[in-house]
Amino acid sequence: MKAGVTVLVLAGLILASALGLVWSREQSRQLDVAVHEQRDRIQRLETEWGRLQLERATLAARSRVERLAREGFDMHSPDSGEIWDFRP
Amino acid sequence: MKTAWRGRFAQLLLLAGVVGITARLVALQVVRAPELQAEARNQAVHQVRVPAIRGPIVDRDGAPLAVSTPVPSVYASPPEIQASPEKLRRLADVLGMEAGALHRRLARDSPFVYLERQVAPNVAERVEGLGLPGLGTVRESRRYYPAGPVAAHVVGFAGVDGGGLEGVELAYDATLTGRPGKRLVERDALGRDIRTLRVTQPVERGQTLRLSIDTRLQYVTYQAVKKAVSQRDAKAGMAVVLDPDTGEVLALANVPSYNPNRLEGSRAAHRRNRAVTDALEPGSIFKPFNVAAALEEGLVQPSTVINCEQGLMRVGNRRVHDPHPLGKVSVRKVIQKSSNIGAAKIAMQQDNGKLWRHLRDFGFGLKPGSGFPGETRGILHLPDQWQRFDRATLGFGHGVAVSALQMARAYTVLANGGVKRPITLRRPDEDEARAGERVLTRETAAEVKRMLDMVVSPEGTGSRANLKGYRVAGKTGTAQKPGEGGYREGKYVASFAGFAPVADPSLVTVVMLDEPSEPYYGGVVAAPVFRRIMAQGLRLRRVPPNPGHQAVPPPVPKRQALGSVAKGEQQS
Repeated sequence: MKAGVTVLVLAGLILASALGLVWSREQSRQLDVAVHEQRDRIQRLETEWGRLQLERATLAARSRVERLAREGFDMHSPDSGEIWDFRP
Repeated sequence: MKTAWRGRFAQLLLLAGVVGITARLVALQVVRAPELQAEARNQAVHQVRVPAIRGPIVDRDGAPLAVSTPVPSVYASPPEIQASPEKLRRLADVLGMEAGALHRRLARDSPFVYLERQVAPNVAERVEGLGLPGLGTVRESRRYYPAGPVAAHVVGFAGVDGGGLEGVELAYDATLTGRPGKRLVERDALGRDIRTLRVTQPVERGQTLRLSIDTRLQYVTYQAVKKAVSQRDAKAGMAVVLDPDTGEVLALANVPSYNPNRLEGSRAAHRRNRAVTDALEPGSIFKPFNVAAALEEGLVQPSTVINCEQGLMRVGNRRVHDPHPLGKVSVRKVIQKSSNIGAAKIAMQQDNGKLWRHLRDFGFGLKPGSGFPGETRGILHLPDQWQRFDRATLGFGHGVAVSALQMARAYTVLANGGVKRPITLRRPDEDEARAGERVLTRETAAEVKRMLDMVVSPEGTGSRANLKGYRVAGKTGTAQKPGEGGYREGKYVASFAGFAPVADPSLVTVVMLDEPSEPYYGGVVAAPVFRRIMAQGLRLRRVPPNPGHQAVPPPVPKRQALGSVAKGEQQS
């Protein structure tokens, strides 16, 4: 009688642990997928960051700014003698 | 009976089957289990190398000079390729390759070949869209140089595999490279990653390298040199701008330049950073150091009178000649008017060993210590080889070879009051101590400074370097180029070296133009380039103009500041 109960309990525990294993495996797989996704996202963002940095550098290139200022706004970089110090 | 025999036979067969299966099971699951498991793991578990992204190079204010960004590369595994000729033609089309070249690539006996490296993202998408087996894309990083030709010689470039090949890309390769990581991943039968088992080595990104270069000043410098080279029809030109108080290189330009983003078609000779790697005979811009040594040794005073022999002097059976003859003048005038005879006479008074030591103290014959690959030490012969005539010509910068960077460094000693510092292309950290070495007394440095200030006066040879609002000190140089069998007619190096503002120099600049057309004088050709760089440089460094040195009074502002107008309206 007593032995039968023990067997039943142990069988139950084994079943529970087996299910737990399956569950945790599934969990780990999902987390791994999530990690992969995030890693892909990092790469995508990095690519974009690099692209944006280059775009900014291209748009802010000295030659381009100088040309735009010269042609669009009739400006030039001040020569010596065109700079005054107005600080008190 | 017949049936009983049959039943027994069937039983026996079944039994044999059960025994056979059991035996096989035991053999596989128990006896050979360890071996088979290991094999399975070997097939499923792979070690993957995770490349480290190369660190960016930025200027002193953080503007990017070299940036790595991931781009796709197309590869193939030739043994796995099974495609119709028509599909291969489409692939060749997408990649922009010739069909023959593609076939040759795929005929290689290798499990991995690159078909095209670093392609545009849409090309990679179209390749994947073809859906051919044995074909794929991997991410590689590609290096971009936003400043292009403007800073090409300083920054240098890295190869397609990411190693630095030239410039600071090579000099600081270890800092920039980082360390690739390693991961253990489990893969399924089709080679797709199932999961990461373990990170065996984390990725270490390449560090950011912050240069001492100021991109804005670099642009101004490059443009100024480029303009002069094309206007004067010169072979080449270079300029170096240093901070005399820290030894930092603020700008360094060579013309002709190249585009590091498109190396194909650029000539190797144009890729050399001549301002650092090539030593030239400096000519007159060397004179101040000869005079400084003589002052330091007490051999002459600034007011000591030297007889300049009306333009022609014999030393032994050789002659020294002045283009603009002078009579008896002071040492100051010798520098101001750039007399070869005066400089030669001052040099001849000196002791070989002492003069040599002083010149070494200015950094001649020594590497400037920037760590730039291929940095030259120039040529400064040992003093025991000097004859009387050698010393005379040394006085005006002949028989010695100096790079533009070395020359700029030597001028920082005059500018900062006598301290020699190592040159750096990297911006030092705030708390980084950079030891200098006093090589000249404050008094001598100040005296030479005063002489160089006189050069940039209306009576001096460097009047074209004059700036409104700032006192400028400098020296002109026009050196005839040596060739086979003596100096070559009509081939000159025109140069100008100097600093400003004289009271507390903020910038030291050296400009050299190689073989300009006539007029080839440094004071005519190189001084305006120096002037242009200084005018912009002092503005960029926010050095206020000196009111006492202002030629023109400030203009009346055309518009009142909006804020004050609004205030006035409110009050009324």
